[in-house]
Amino acid sequence: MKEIQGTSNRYLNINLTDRTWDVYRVAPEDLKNYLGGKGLGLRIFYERLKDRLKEIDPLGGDNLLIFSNGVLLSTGAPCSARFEVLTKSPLTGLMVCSSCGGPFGEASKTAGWDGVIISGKADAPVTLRIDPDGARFEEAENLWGRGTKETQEMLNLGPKEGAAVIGPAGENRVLYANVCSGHRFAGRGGIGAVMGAKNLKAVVARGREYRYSPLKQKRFNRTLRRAKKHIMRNELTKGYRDYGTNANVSYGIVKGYVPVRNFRDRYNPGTVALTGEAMAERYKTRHSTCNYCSVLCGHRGHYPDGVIRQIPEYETIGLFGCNIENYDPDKIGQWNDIMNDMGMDTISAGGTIAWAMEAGEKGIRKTSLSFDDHANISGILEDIALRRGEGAELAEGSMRLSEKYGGKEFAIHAKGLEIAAYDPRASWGHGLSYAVHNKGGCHLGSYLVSLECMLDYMPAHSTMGKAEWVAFCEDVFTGVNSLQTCLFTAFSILTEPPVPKYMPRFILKIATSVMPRMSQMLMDWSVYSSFFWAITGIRCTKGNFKRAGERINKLERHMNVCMGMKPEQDTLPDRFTKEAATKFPGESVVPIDKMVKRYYKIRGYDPVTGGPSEKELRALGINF
Amino acid sequence: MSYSVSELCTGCTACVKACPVSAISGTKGERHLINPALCIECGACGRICPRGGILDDRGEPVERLKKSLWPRPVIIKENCMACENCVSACPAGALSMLSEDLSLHENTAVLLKPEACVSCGWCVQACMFDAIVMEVHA
Repeated sequence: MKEIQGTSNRYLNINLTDRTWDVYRVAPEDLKNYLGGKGLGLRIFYERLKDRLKEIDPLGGDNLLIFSNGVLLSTGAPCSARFEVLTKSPLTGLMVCSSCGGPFGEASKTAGWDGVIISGKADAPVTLRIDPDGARFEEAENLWGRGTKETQEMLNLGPKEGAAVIGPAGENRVLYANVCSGHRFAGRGGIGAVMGAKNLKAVVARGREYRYSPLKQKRFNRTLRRAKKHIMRNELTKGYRDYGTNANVSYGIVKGYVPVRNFRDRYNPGTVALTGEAMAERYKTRHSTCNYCSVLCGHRGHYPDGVIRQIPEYETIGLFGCNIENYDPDKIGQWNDIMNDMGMDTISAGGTIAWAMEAGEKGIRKTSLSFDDHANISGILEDIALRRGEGAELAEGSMRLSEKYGGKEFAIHAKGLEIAAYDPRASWGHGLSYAVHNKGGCHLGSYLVSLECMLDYMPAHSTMGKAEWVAFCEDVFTGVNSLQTCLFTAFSILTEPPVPKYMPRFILKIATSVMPRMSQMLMDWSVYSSFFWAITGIRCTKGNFKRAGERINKLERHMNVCMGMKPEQDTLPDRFTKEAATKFPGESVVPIDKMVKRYYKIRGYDPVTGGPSEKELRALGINF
Repeated sequence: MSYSVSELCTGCTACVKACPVSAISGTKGERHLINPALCIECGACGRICPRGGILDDRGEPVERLKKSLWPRPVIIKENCMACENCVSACPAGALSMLSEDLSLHENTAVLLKPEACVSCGWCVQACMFDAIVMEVHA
């Protein structure tokens, strides 16, 4: 096996239209400024298409689909078997970047590639096979129409191979179709539809030809020891290890963030059947994780019908459980299997179905869906993937449906991307996170619910300091997604150092609200910057790392503005800003305008355009 | 790069039987061939070859080694988190979980089929909890 020190700095540049390829080489300056993964992927997208970002048809040949690996992949660092997929989203019309923990990343990286840039459109279904020598194009007629599981089986993957595939939802351009690798997904924003529109059924990488070694081995070893120690002893991580992300359900019941009846109620006693603890017992759960994982949030379980299934993640449990008034986790497991096989995002599917149920209830739109009857959900999910009957319309997502029929006030999305299963009335900072995140209603932009409701680091119903914390977490998390490692390592990396860990909560709450910037310095993300420094040999301090995250966020924001994003899209649905009373004790609406205004000030965004100024872009070294 | 077969090969097929990923092909009595796309560089073919006819990825002949002296994984149960990543990484199907009936905290990985193990070390690489070491089993 050959060895690469640092990273290869080589992307495979594919043109599907004429079935050719060449090599794109990354400039050292770009690696330093954009870190890899998400950052470098955005940089490449921008450089190639900056003059016509608005004109790009997301489902046309001119859109780019970029698979981007980070420098951490294949080094043995914890939770590092991840890759990022980027494109212009057909759901939002803006940039979407999604992280996935499947085997494709490691296979492509150890084939010697830091990523794959795919342009053009094949004239017939095709499988792209990549190895250290380049790319080959194979006809994929026999795979077209197959589910994600069967497709991967039919590809006969060897132990050195990993694939990224789409299911029927991607082929039929469901606007929230995803990309599957192993049993993990690059879930959001319709990346699968972009792949389907390119007639690209699968990308298969054959790796294990290169090994990677850090340029500064001693620093790497030291950082690795620290990272492992923090991850192993963190309490929140332990909860995820035992109960998966469904550990969030119990917090959600107590704090009132679990969504009920299309986010109307925030509470139903039946939700206890959906907790991670209840499901661990019911299904005798086992770990089923990404490679090189040390958090171990992924689980599988033994269902009463005799099938061993992947346990759905919290978002799926929330949106296909209490949010549609279903308290039977067995059904969610079955629906999750259907959606995974069809290759579609469970968050957007759940949000769209809940909207259709409420619209039907209010007589706005005729539907066979109802909060009282779930017998037809399996059929509807297949109809969505195949764009049959009512499914053809549901495949467009809740924003388009509400624009057509009305009911925008209860279409639970931000910028067209359906909001995840945390009601922001229980967690105002998390509401700001949804509203201003470049991608739209994704929970992982800054995931403030973890600091507000799970770790109890800051008051949940206060606007003080929230804009500062959202900006801070966005920058650090974007850095993490560029390295890249799993965002769930951040709980431990950021909060295990002694100061935040042992400081009394009431003092911490005052500090995070009144002195947000100073209290951010109590957190320690030097593990991440040190990993980058050790592997690449490029000096990277905590400040450099956060600054790179900021640069990447602002580049993405600038790209979104060029694509037509308006500042009024940085908001939440009326349900969260006007409907105060729910079945959860206490009334709350999210004062979103106040927090967004503050966020704009901190970010230096122009309230008229919604993006960074030319001066700001210049200061960050972004050409425009 | 992968392992390769030298001119010393007599086509005895011992390596074909030892390869866990069916990367070696050839007719009995004739020089065999290793498919580099499939080879996982475990070296089992070289350690089993009676003629020293296998070269490693640097072109060096691989020394023959009695199978009982091959290093194999030893699971340190206290460290094992039952993540199953070693089981899924093993290209030879030698590792397994102790029992589906045990709780998550009691379960652990085990070397169920030691005779199938090819000493590739992929399990060690896959383990994030320092729960596997390669040792010659007594």
